[in-house]
Amino acid sequence: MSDLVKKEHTILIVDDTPANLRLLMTYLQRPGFNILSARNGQSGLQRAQYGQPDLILLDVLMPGMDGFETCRQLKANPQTANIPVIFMTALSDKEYIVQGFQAGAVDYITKPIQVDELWARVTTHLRIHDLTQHLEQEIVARTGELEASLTREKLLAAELRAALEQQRELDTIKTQVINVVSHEFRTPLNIISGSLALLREHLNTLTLQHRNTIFARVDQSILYLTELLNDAFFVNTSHGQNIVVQPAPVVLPTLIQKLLQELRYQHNNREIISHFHNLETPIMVDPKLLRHILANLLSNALKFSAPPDPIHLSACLESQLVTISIQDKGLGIPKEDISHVFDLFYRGSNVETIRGLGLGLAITKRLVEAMEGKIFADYSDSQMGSKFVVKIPV
Amino acid sequence: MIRMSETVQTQHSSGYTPLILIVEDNELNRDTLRDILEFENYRVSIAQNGQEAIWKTNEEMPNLILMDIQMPIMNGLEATQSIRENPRTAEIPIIVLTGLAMQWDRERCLAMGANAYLTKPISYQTLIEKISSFL
Repeated sequence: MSDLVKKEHTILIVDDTPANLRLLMTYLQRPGFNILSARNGQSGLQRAQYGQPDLILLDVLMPGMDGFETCRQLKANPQTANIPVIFMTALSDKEYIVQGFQAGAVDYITKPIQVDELWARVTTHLRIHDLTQHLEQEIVARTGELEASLTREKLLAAELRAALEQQRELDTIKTQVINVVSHEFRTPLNIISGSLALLREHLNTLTLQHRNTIFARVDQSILYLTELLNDAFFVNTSHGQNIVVQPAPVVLPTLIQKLLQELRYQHNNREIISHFHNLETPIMVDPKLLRHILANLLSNALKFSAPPDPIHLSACLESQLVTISIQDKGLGIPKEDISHVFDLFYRGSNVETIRGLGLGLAITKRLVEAMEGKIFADYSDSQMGSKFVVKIPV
Repeated sequence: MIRMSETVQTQHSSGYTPLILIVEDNELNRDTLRDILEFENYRVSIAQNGQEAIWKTNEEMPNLILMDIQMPIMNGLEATQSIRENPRTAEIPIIVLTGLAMQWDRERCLAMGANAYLTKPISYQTLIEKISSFL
């Protein structure tokens, strides 16, 4: 008994002869053994299904369904297929032994039954069955572990691939930024260097008005270089990273008026008309990001339109949503460019001689999205220049 | 853009005032170059892109061309090639002024028929010396 892996075993005996049944039950009724019995094949199948025995002792010759058919049906049912079956047959039935194995039995025992032999065969097959079950459980458990670790590795590999892809994209963007910036830097540098040379060589001959013109060229070039650097720096640092949003109480008209004042100063007192509605009380937004967004959109409006046409800015608060729209009467956006205006390095097909990196709107969109807002170009009136609308929840 | 009007045009040593065509799409850079050249007593004409450059070259027959490369409509390379292909304008010296700084760009410009290649930012002195070496 100590050889057996499990402590409790159930054995099903199927025999139509009550005397045989009794004999076997008496003999196998030992501690740790639970005996089920059936008097024919049909009830043997039912007992096997519901009792889930560890071993079945099956008589060959029974009225109705014989032992072979019973065995075949046991093996055909997935719920009983793995239960070992030992046939009980008379010594003279030699051809039955072969048939029994063909039907799926693991062993046979000859009648009249020798109790020592019965015990030896029963314990041997219980032990084999126990070990097989144990191995199968181990295999299932190990397979599960392996699958789990494979899944983990697959996930890890996918994460690595995504990270690599992002790194490649970032590298491409950085290379593009460096290429575009290094080219775009040269013309303003040329203006500054040429202007300095003019002032140095001809300071005394230059009229005051001419000097001021040259100073203005230098100022504008430096302003442009600064914008280029800011944009390039922003793309370089923010791509692939989260933009930190720090909301604070902001009185929007005050913030915007201050920005407009600076822009008017930089752009020869260009006319910018602003209109506010329902914004007297402070709202919670990130003032730096919002300023950056509006500065980008307003610079575009100033750059792509010409005096004396004014720029219109309107802002209003409605059901926890700030809507700001900025409209110019300039070049507008051609239909074929509509789907690309927010792409990195994209420049409209009609901008021709107006300088730029094509970063401004891409950056603006990222900022707006960081604030969980939306930005879109309003094309409802394409004859009227460009109109950009920003909606930010507060 | 306000530009210089008080420049006193003096004659060059050769006895005439050479005409230089500036081909450049950036207005501020154009104005700065124009100021510099006018101070050096050159006459200046302006083209904003390659196409205008071809037309003005043919029309005004400048003594020298300062050519930017990256311009809208038609770039400086195409314009240079086209000016070289026209027997009437084939001999006009062309100095390329560009933001492209690669060796490959220089070779390509010279292959297209440019006589010299200067990378922005250009020093006042270098520009004047280069121009006078062709006139």
